[in-house]
Amino acid sequence: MTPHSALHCENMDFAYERDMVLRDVNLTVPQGDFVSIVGPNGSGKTTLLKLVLGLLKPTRGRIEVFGQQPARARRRIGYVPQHPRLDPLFPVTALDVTLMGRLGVTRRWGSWLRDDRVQALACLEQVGLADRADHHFASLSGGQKQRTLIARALAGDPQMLLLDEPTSGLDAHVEETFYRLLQELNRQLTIVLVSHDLGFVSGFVRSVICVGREVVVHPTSNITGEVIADLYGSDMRLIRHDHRCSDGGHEH
Amino acid sequence: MSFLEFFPALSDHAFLQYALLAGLLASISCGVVGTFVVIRRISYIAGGIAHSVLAGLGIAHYLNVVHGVHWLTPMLGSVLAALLSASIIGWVSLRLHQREDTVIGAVWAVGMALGIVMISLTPGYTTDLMSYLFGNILMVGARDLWLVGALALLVVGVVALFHKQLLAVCFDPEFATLRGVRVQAFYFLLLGLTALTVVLLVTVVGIILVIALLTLPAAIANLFARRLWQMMALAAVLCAIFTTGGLALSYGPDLPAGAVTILLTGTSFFAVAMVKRRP
Repeated sequence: MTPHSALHCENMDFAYERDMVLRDVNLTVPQGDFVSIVGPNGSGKTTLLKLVLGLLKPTRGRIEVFGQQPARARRRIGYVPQHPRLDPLFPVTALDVTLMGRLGVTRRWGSWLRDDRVQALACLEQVGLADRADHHFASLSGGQKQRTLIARALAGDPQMLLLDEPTSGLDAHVEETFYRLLQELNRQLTIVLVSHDLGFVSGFVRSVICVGREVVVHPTSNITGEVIADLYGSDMRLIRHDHRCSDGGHEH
Repeated sequence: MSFLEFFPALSDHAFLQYALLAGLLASISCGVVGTFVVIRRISYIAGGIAHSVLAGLGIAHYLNVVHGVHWLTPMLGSVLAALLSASIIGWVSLRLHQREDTVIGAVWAVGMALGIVMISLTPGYTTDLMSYLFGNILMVGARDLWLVGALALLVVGVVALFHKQLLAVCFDPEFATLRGVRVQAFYFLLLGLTALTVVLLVTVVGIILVIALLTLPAAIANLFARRLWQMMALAAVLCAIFTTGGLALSYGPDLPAGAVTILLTGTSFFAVAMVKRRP
């Protein structure tokens, strides 16, 4: 018996009204993979992400998450949104935010259970924020907020972590620590992250899904200046990072 | 100090005891629901609901006096009008995302206009209009008190059951959706609770002033609270202090209690906001 792939798209199109955003997408993300969806702004990355979450339905073709329709598989996905556009006075602590990830797992009515708190604290510990549990969410730094949102996603006990531009607004040093955390989590989970920063990401992920008009899957090692120029236009200045070859890198 | 006259008078007059108790009961839901109104930023919606209450009051008053429909008390009329306008505003804001503020303004003004026409069609004294608009907590009777108590209990009970979902919907509706929370249903629930609380507070300070009493105690509490329940508890205590203080301060010099309550609330808000910036 072969396990279902974490994400599978077949001949999938998506259009808003008549505006075709994604055309003929074919891709498979095996369980346990660490992939990045990259593409310039307006390329359809966010649309692809919403299709994975089941917030949008494909105009044509098929999309499956763990072998199910995306809307049904939602609770198996831990979603980490871009940057939370938040009221700085919103009265929640890091623990309160993390607990929200327990919705859909815990009982519907009344307050949180002891088990919810135990789980939420364990998730905060996993992202290195156990000592900040009781801090006002707004008082945390950008990186700590982002890690709290990962803890919130983990609290629902997901099989896949889906992150939308997780490093926007973080400085390079924090970003590096952040990707190390994701590598750590990748031992247990499939990780899909959306980014416009191809250069940095490619040092960590195993494969890259490029979203332009068409969606192309590259093993990390095949990303060359040409691919990037194709995607972003030729006047894009490329900053080289060390590209690491992953194990399954050449089976294109 | 003339406001000290209030306390000896309290033991002599049942109407003062009713007023005090009504203010205290309303304060509980004021703190709980005001907190959500402030963090979800729907005070303009609450304002629209409050003003449309006049239509319910006016229609109930008219049917009472002219057609002898006695079961439709002004309080029941307010509840129905508030729930109806909350549903209209909620439906519009979910279906037609833009132009929400225009519709709120329309509900606001049409509700008032309808109320004023119904009151002018009703024979008898028109002083009722003033007490609807600016509140007359001293008119609260024993029967109103039961209704205020029941509504307060209902509001607190519903929030106790669903505060997890309500908080998640206010904090990040998209994430709440992905966790299987029915965001639209809880948004409607929140508007319904706001409508009921508005009706409670209208008996205390009247239609025009209600928005300040609903939001300012919660806004002050927001500057000090780190968690939802702290904000609710502090807002409720502040609301109780303001309503009791307004009643006591207005009694001696015979000033309108609702207006004095709001002056006290507003002054405290500006004073605290100037001194305290962030938690």
